[in-house]
Amino acid sequence: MRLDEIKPGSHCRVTMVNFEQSIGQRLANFGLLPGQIVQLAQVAPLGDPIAISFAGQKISLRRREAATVEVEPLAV
Amino acid sequence: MATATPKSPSKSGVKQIALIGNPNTGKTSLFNCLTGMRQRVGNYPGVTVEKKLGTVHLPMGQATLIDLPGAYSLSASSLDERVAVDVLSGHLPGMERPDAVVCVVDATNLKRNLFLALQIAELGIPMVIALNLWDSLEARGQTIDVEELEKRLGVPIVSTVGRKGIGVAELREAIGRAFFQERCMAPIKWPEEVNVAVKDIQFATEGHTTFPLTELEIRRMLFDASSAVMNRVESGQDSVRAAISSGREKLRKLGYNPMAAEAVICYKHLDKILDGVIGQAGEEKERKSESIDRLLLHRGWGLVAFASLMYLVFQSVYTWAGPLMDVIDAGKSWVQGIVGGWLSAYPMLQSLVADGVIEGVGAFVIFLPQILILFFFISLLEDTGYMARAAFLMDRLFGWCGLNGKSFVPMLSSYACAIPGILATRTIEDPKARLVTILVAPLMSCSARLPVYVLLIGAFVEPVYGPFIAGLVLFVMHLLGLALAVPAAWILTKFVVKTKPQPFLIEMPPYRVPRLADVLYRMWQAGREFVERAGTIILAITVIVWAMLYFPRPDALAEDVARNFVSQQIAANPDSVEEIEALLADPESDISIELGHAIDSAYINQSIMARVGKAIQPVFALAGFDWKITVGVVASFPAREVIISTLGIIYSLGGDVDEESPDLKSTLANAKWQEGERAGQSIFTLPVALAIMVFFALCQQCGATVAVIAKELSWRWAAGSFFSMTLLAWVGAVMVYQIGTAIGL
Repeated sequence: MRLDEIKPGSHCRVTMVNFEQSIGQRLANFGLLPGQIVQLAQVAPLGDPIAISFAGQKISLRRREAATVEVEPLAV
Repeated sequence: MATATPKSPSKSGVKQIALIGNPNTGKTSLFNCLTGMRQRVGNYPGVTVEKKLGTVHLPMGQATLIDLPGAYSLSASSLDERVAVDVLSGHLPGMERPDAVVCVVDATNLKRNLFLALQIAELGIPMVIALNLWDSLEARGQTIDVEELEKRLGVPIVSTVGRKGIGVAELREAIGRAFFQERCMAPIKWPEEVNVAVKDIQFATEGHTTFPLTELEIRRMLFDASSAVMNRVESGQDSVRAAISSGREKLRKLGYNPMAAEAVICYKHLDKILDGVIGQAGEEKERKSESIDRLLLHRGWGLVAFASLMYLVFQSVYTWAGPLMDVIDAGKSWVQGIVGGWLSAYPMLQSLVADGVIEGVGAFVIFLPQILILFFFISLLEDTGYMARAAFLMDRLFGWCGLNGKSFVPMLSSYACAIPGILATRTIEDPKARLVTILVAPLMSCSARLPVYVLLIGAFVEPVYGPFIAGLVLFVMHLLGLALAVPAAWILTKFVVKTKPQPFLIEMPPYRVPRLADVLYRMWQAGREFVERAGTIILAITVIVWAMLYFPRPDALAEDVARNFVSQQIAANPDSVEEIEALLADPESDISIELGHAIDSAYINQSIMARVGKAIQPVFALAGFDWKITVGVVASFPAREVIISTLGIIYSLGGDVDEESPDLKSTLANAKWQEGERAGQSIFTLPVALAIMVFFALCQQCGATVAVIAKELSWRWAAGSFFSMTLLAWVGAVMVYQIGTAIGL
């Protein structure tokens, strides 16, 4: 599953980040690394971008870029 | 100076202290607290990154504080980060390597913030960490064991609340301590393979760079996919690249993805450092921000709140700035009157000073109310954290054509005036989106275009089609620029601007209460910078245009006009010669004023500007313009709003007419072609009136805008923007006239 596919409000764990794309390294600098637990906090009214919460911070990114992050959903 | 000076003593003797930190850490508040009003703002050489310097009193004497742009890392992939790397490495012309670094850290998000500090640690410069937003940490019920953290990191750490000025004195003292005791942060213990790779790359670059590269720069080349540091290597790039790839191969063998190795190693290191340092996590503050977000980012309520806020911002610039602008305008006329009185014996000097210089000063001071009011709101929006939310809400609308969510406020402001709008693009982090936003902003229909629409719609549309169609035309004129800005942005993004776009990745910081002093500093800076950068250019343009309208000025012309005028008056009323002469002797009489207007008209009609207008009239004939309209259009290039008064002078009505003036409306309606195939027909047909409006809607007739674009981007972009908008306006006007005439409007 990809980060752009999880349900609003639900949690997931990062399994893989595509570091070959420049966005991957930027996300890594924020601490979005494999193993990190992430919540999809909000979806913008027009469907894109999305806001994710992790490690006490909230980051907004476009769906296209969120799609470079593989996750596994967590049942919370 | 002191003998305990670390490795790179500044040649000037004044110590250089760099202030760096993630965005949204309250770094600017701390900078303002430390330096007060002793700030200087400029640009780094060759790039449009803001350079902010201030003077600060420290235990080792007066020092220069360099406020580096906010950055999450030193990856050098954005312009801001590249400048930060260059400044910290001491590789910018005219700037010494800093003697110490103050790293401003968000106490509520230690790990991510210390990531940047760890990268800087590679430089081996004395460092102080300011744990800012300490009050937010306390509100969350969290604690940080500062003493223990200080021990583990090896540098002085001070808890601060920049917003309230708490901890600033301790921070000054700590900078002194770090400097005198050479307290540098202990760098990470990298795997041996990384150290070998760094040595290899360093060896490969030796002799191929102007300055020897710092270890920080070498690491950037190793860890970052496309590091700007590579540009520093002037020759032998192949062997450097080979060293980099063999270094990355070593990382791969260790089991790291080379592009993530640094983050993985650093975050693991930070986990160890922070273990047991942060106490008791409560979630108080987070929940508050979260529930505000649930409302403000809601698909219904969020958009309502957004629209209301933006309406408030727009009204403030569009309407509330009005009275202040009127005061400035009245002040300008008052000064013109007084100074004009002193110089009345020297008509040319009087006109130069009053209509050239004072007018020119007024021409840029008039923008200050809008700029100050807009920046009041912009700093409120940014400091509260709402700006990131506004960008989030609007990004989809703008993202597809190359702009981004942060383009909204600049574009909206440009409907009032492009000057504050263009200055507001500084909030856009992505240089490409910022560039494109600046280029399309002048297409928004600013308030200076309104008088042209009101005059022409009032004279030619409303009398024929009624108020409903008149209102509709006014609305369409306002939409036209926006409708063209969207494809223009798309084309610029796709084909013209070659730089790589940055991903739209923005932090949505917790909501915070802004500090009034910071808001005022921001307004003051925006205003001062505008006056310093654009003021002289606008003044120069005004004086040049004054000269083009004033010269040549043969005395004989006025005498001729007066002689003809008097003989016409006498011919019309042969019995009242004495009466006419008496009236002419009184400068306040109607006849005298009429004569004055006739002389002004005769002068302007043979001025350099009019000659230019007449020479290029054939180009505008395709849009149905006669030479008078063309002269009016050409004279309006420095400032579109002068078209009304210029038309007034050209048509011998004097320069005091406004867009509601019935005299001007009827004069335009009655103007006939004097010669040629259309002799006797009306000049101002509906297609001509529409063509003029379209021309004004699309043309960049604003010297101040050109000046601001030149200062924000470059003269090349300013010229490109000016000429392409002029061409666009001409094509639009010609199309409207030709199609309108063909369908018999």
